[in-house]
Amino acid sequence: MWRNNWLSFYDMDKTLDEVERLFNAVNRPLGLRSVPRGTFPPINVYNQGDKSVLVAEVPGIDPGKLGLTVLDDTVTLTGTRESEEDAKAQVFRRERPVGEFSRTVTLPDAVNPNTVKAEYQDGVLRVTMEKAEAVKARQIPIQS
Amino acid sequence: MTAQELAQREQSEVKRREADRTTYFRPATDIRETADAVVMKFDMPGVASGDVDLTVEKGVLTVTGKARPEEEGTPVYRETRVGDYQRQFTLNENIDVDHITAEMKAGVLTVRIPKPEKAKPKKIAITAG
Repeated sequence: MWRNNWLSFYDMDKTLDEVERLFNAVNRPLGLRSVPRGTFPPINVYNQGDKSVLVAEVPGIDPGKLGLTVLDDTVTLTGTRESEEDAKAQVFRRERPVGEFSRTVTLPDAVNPNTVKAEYQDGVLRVTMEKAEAVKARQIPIQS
Repeated sequence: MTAQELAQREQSEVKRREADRTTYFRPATDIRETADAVVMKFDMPGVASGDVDLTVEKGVLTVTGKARPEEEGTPVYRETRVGDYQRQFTLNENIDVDHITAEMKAGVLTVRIPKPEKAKPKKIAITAG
């Protein structure tokens, strides 16, 4: 009987899982103190054949105030995350990045700036760009 | 049991343990206290307002957000992974749970917990004696 109790109290399998769970929980994003300049907002770039898609996570801003510039193979994103105006409030925790940001990302392939489309939804900016003609893969017919 | 059967059993065991493990991202949180409320803001980009779950149970406030699926294509440059969000905070027992309001906009969840009357600062008139 005591063996049953011992097993259920000290469930080794579960304990290991818990510890692993703790280590797997990713803390992000980090506050002003721990994020070096130039890493907000986090950006992912995806290659979709003839298109390049850039995804930036910028929650809580007015998309009209975002600056987006696309040159041949660079994308620059600028904007400001407003801080709360209430000066009398007591701050217990501040982790969300605040202030001006400006990030420039180099794309793997040159894009045609005239084909850029951008949309902002739920705090995510999604920029679709078609690759420049010169870069697109072309089927070369083989003559026999 | 043959060595193969043993290896197979180990494989499925590992898969089961991996499936049980849920990895969450912890959303960045700002907590401020004003004169009449505690305001919490959570950054959860990519989460629609219908995909947010906010519960208070036994003094623990839990925020869960279901993320959108990741963009298609080959990631060329990846600074962040896509995943669900979750964070928990213990609340003061004086918190008035019935009047908690929450608003989800542009990937930011704002939770407003009004302070009960007795917790608000009060000016006490002093009579000259």
